[in-house]
This record gives sequence, C-alpha cells and structure tokens, in this order.
Amino acid sequence: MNIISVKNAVYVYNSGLEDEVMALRGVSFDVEQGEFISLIGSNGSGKSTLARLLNGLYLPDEGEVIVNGKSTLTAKHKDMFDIRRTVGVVFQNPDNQMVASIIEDDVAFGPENLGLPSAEIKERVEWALDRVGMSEYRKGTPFRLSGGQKQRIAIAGVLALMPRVMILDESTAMLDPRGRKEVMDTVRRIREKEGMTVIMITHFPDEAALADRVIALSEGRVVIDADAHRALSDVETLRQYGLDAPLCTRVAYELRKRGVELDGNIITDRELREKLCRSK
Amino acid sequence: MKDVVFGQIYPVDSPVHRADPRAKLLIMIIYIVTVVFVPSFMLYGIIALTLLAVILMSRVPPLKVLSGLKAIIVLAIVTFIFTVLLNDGAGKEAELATFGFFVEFGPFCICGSGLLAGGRIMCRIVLLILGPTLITLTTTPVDMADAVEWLLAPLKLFRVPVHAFGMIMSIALRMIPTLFEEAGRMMNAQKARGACFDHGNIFKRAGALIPVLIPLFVSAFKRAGDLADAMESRCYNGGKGKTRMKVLRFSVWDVLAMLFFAALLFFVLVCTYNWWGWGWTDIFKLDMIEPVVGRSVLG
Amino acid sequence: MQIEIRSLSYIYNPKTPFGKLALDDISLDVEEGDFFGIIGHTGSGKSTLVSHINALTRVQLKYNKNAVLKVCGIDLCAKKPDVKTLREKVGMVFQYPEYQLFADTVRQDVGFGPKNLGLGEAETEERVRAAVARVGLDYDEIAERSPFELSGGQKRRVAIAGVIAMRPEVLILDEPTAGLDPEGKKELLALFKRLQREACPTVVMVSHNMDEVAECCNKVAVMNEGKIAGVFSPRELFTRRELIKGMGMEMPSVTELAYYLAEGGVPVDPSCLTESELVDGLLNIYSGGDK
Repeated sequence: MNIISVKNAVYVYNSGLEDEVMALRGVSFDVEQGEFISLIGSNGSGKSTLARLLNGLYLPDEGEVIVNGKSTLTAKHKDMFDIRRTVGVVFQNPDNQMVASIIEDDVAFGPENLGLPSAEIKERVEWALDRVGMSEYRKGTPFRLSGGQKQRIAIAGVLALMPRVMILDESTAMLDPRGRKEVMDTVRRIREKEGMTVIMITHFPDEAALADRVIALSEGRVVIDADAHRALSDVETLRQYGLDAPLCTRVAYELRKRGVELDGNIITDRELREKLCRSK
Repeated sequence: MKDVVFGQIYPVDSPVHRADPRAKLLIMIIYIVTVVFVPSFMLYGIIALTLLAVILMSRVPPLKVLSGLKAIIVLAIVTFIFTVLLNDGAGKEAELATFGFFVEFGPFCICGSGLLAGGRIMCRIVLLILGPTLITLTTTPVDMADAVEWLLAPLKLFRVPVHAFGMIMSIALRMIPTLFEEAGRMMNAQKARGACFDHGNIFKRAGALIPVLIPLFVSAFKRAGDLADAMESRCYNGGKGKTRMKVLRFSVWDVLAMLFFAALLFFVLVCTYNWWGWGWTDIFKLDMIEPVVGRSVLG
Repeated sequence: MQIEIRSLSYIYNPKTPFGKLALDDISLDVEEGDFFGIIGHTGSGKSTLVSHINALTRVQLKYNKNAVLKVCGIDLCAKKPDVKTLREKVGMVFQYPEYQLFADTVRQDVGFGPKNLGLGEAETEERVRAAVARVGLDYDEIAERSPFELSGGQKRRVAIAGVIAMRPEVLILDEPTAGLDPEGKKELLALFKRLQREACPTVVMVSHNMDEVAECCNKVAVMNEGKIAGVFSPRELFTRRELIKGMGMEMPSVTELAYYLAEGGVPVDPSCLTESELVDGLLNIYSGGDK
C-alpha cells in the first residue's frame, strides 16, 4: 500500500491577492513504505511547500494528499494527529525547531503532545537519542552544540514520534561539510535499522545520489520521477531544469561525449572507477 | 548570555539542588513573607541562622551567595541613611530619655529609634536578597518556569491560559540566547558599514539602533513562523491532552522543608501579633526598644 | 602588504575556567591582488580571525605583547587605532548578509554605508547606482522597491552591494554562498571573481567549502583549532591530502575524485583542480588507447 499518495496537488500562496504565487501546479506521485526518495529542484521550485503539504501543515488548494489512507483535506483533529505522527519533518534551520532548552526535554516534546505516559516518553527519548548518537548530551543545552549535532537532536525529536516516514527539508543546507556528513550518516543508519521511509529534499546532487528514487520539481511541477541512476545520470535533462548531476556523472558524460565508451548509468565515484578500469 | 538556561546555577550536587523546584518556589514565597513580618533583631538572627544552615546544606560557598548583594548594596546603604536621617522617632525628649542622644542638623536628625529602624531595613533587604539568590544558585530557570506554571495551575479554573504561559516561558528561555547572539551579529554587520552606536545623545543612539532592531524583528518573526511549523509538525495543539516526561513528585524532605518554613512563618506571626497573649514570645522582641512617650511630651 | 599578521592570539573568556584559545599565534600576509581563502571547520577560529581584520574584535593587548596586526597601513595593535578609516577601507560581507537589510527601499539600504562615511547626496547616489549595477541587478527596476520583497538571491546581492558601495580596498567574505543552491553559488562566485578584477583587488574569503576556495583563491590558509596549519596554493593542496584529511576536512571534490580514481588503478594525475582538467586527463588515457 502507498503510505503517501499525492494527487494533482495545487498550492497557491496569497490566493486571490495581487502577489499571488502558484507554488505547486498539479503534483502527483506515490510513496511506498520503505522507499528512499530524494526530492530535488532549484530554489523556488516548490520543494519546501510540498514537504509542508505531506504532513498537513498546508492543505492543497486543489487535488489531495493522502497519508496512510487519510486525506489531509478532510482530516479532523484525531486524523490530523495520525498524519503528523506518520510523517515527521526535520526542517532546515536547526535553531528554529527546538522548543526546549534542555535536549531531552526537546526530544520529549512530540511524545508529550501525543499524551503518552511518562515512562513510555522516557523510553522513547532514550531510544531516539541513542539512534542519533547523542545520548551523552541529554541533560545539556543545545547552545553549545555544532550545527550537525543540533540537527541530530532535531532528528531525534522527530524519531520520538515513531513516524513511518521522515522528511528532511534541506536539513543539511546550513551545515558545514562535517555537519552534513554527520546528518547523512545518521539518516542512513536509521534507514537501515528501522527501515523507515525517507524523503530527502536537497540541492546537493551527491546527497541525492544516496536515494533509490529521485523526484525533480521545476516551477511547481514534477519533471523527473525515476530511479536514482536513471534520473541523475541524465545530465542534459537535469541542466534543462537548472539542476546539477553529481561530479562523477558529469565527468562520465563529458568522456562519453568525446568518444570514450562507458556503459551503464554512473552516479557514484565507485561506479566511475569500476567502469574506467574495465574499459582500459 | 548563553547561560540563561542554567542561569546562575552553582553546579554541585546537594539536597537543595535536588529539591523539587515547586517546593523551592513555595518556600521562597513563605520565606519572603516571613522576612517582611519580622519585628526584631533577634528574629532576624534566627532567620539568618536558618538561611546559613540551608546555604551550608547546599554546598554553595557562602561568599558566592553573599556576592548576590553586590547589585543591591548601594541601594541598601542609601535606604539606611535616609531611614536614619528622616526618622525622628518619638520626638526629641522621648528619644533623649530612652537613648540619651539626639543629634539634629537642619531638617535631619539622628536618633536611637531611627538607627534601629534603619538597621531593621538593612536586615530585611539583605535577607530578602540572599534567599532568592540561593534559589537561583541551586535551580535552573527551566525548572523554575515549570514550578511557576504548576503554581499558576489553579488559575485554569478561571480560564487563564496557564499552559500557554508555560510554553511562552519555555520558548523565551530557549530563544533569548539565540536572539541575543543575533543582535550582536547584526550590530557587527552594521558597524562594518560604518554605523556608530556610542556617539551622540540618547535620541541619536536610539536612532542608530534602528538598522539593528528592524532586521532583528524580521528575523524573530521568521523564527517564530518556523518554530510554529516545527511544533505543529510534532503534534502540538495548544497543550490539549499533553502529558509530561518529567513528572514532578514532592519527596518527604520537600514536604518537611515546606512545613518547617511554614512553622517559622507562623512563629514569627505569633511573636509579632501575640494573638493569644503569650508572655514568652516577648523574649524574641527584647531588642525592640520603644522610647516611652512620656507625659512631658504630651502634657 | 594589505594585511600583515604576526603571532596574534585571542582568548575567549580569559580569567575563567572556560577560557579557550581561539587564535593561537597566528601569522599571515595578504598582499594586494590576493584572493585569499581561509578554510576550516566551524569553531576553528577563522571567524575570530577575520573579525580582527575589521576591528570588530579588538586585539587583546594584554596577551599580545609582541603581536603585529596591520591592515591597509593601520596599526590595530595601537592603543587607539583609527577604526573609522579602517572600516572605510575594509568591507565585510557577513554570513547570510540578507538578514541585515533594514531600510524601506533598496536605494536607502545600499546608501547606508556611504552615508555613514559622510558622503553627500550626489556622491552617495552615484555610488549606490554603481554598486547595484556591479552585483548584477537593474538599478532602475529595483531601487525604490522594499528589500524585503525581493527573492533570496536578490536580497543577498543587495546586501553585498551595500558593502561595495563603500568602495573598500579589502573585501572580506564570510561564508558568502551559505544556503544557496548550486546555481546560485556558481553565479555568486563568478560575481566575486569579477569584483576582484574590476573593483576591489584584495579579497579574503572565509569558507568551509573546499571547492569554492579552490576555485576562486590563489592562496588558501588551512585553519584548525586556532592555528594555521599551512598556506598553500590550490594546486599544492593535493600534496597535503594527509594533513587536510587528518583534520577531518574535505579535499576539493575534483582532486578527491582524481585521487580516488588513481588509487583504483586509473592512471590519472591527481593534482587536477577543475572538472575540465580531469576530463582532459582521462581523455589522454582513454581516447588515445581507443583510437
């Protein structure tokens, strides 16, 4: 069964006003349980708007978004709760998503809102902090942490809700390379251990290459939706939408253009190396 | 400014640190009321000894607690001087009869009653500052905010949004350091563009802050919007049906401590008002020398 | 010499147990015409270092008895350095500069710096016009609009225009491309290279992104834990792979890919810096053999 299903969703900012902006112009796709999807697109393509549609923060102006069999449009109080505990979102700015000044209190925020008993909240907080490797910091404050560590706390805060889908809305964009790596390693570990569905919004092509499937947005429309190898190795189509392929893919593309024979789609350094060694 | 979370806390482990913040808050309130009602030096002494015992129990160096007076010492001295100078007690004759001196200069005078009144005010100010200082040295603002929310809980009956207050306090504690840091960054950015924040009169200086305040507000609103999104995504809906991970529980010691301070308050009130006419309570008011307003004055 | 630094140190929270040596005996020279990169992790001391250059952080004279810090001929180790002139000569673009916009119109915002310098209306106007054009925006279209209603990329350009309208001799950029998408990054880096050629010959860029440093700079200072681990040309970086990796930093991604290929038996020169160099290097091996 599809865990998320987006059907022809349209979203308009400032609808009816002079500065009306159509952020999504009819987006459709399905997400199956366990998929790892990266959602790419240049600034202003509608990626972040889409993330907010997927957990009911925004409601589509046309079309619908169905999470776990429930449409966000018609979800009443309890259903909306279910939608939000099914789809957790980690946002971009690590400083703007922490509610409490003590790390464990912050992670506890979600389960507290669910109305769980104290003992279970404690268990979940311990588990979530352990999953992101931040257990030793539980009694501390977020202020002394690095950007990557703060983002791991934010991930723990989402994990504590035990969602089935985790959306990362450009969660690495404000981090330095070390922080990016920390966050990406954490996401990968969680995916392996928990089999969680992950939708990662990013504009780093090398991050996108970690996913199994790539969806590209441009001007509010889905322009590419394919498995990662096919999507990211199509350098020309990506460029057409102002997007970049990973470095190794671009190199392979140039080589092919100039007559070097390399078969298959190349989106990782390892693939490039293997193909080059073989064609020697 | 980053220390807003831990505030002034002196990081050692002690029974006072571990005590339930609600108990500490209640004890602080009882303590303040007690100090306000104390009539005599002997009772001030008893309270000071009690406080000293708690300080020793808290393992915070007493000097550290005393340093809480630094901010207030000038005010205390000024208050003392004015109280002494402006107090003419029971009048010149009565004061002379009781204390044997009465110094006058211009509209001011120094007399025995005045000195005693000044001394009491000094004691009161010092004790009023030291108690809460000890609390801030042993309790984090976060815990204190929790305690305040708990204390206000009965107001829910009158539809006061107590939960919202608690959330606001918690978020304020969380965001103040971030915004403070940001203000510093904005000031630096505008300084780099030649702005000057320390020249001219007060109006000029206030005007110079506009290029800092406007972006700060813009950013604070953006942060607020982001935070609201993040909270809503994590199933927040105004605190309905919300539970807590940390359930505060009064320990036996918390209750005993509260009872002890309540008893102390009761004792001070009995000494002050002597409701039942017990003679022995006067022992604790021995130092309250009241000049006898003699016939010579009235007659 | 535009910037001369000798054995400069800086201690955070001196006299407390939390004291931390943020800068540890730093020496650096930046000459006119340099596009000087400073690279390091968050917390390596690079921001503290550049804020000294603009006197936003003052030299701790007490701990810097023998230090030298001279910027554009101004001695910042003096008791009362001429900060006003210094800020005129050194422009600084902070991280996420668009967050410092405040005025009603783009014209006023960009004019804030020149006004603070005490320039007259006409001169200010002319500088604003030139600066807005330099960052690639259309002055007539944008001048009277509110900076808050522009797109993210435009806002950042306006903020940069606000700094270059002061016509600094030295331009300092602190993580200038943070948060932009790849396209936006490319455009902005091109803009800085052009600025350096045409308007402001000395640029210091602080970054944690090795790729952009390797692309723009002619010298790269690698900072780690308050110390300078070395100053290299981008091409020398590959010889210092051990050192840089050892500090947990990234190599330029082209260099790293070339190294990875070479390690796996593809005989390509790992010192290449740009994508086209790498492609050419590979072509030499492969198309030669094929044909």
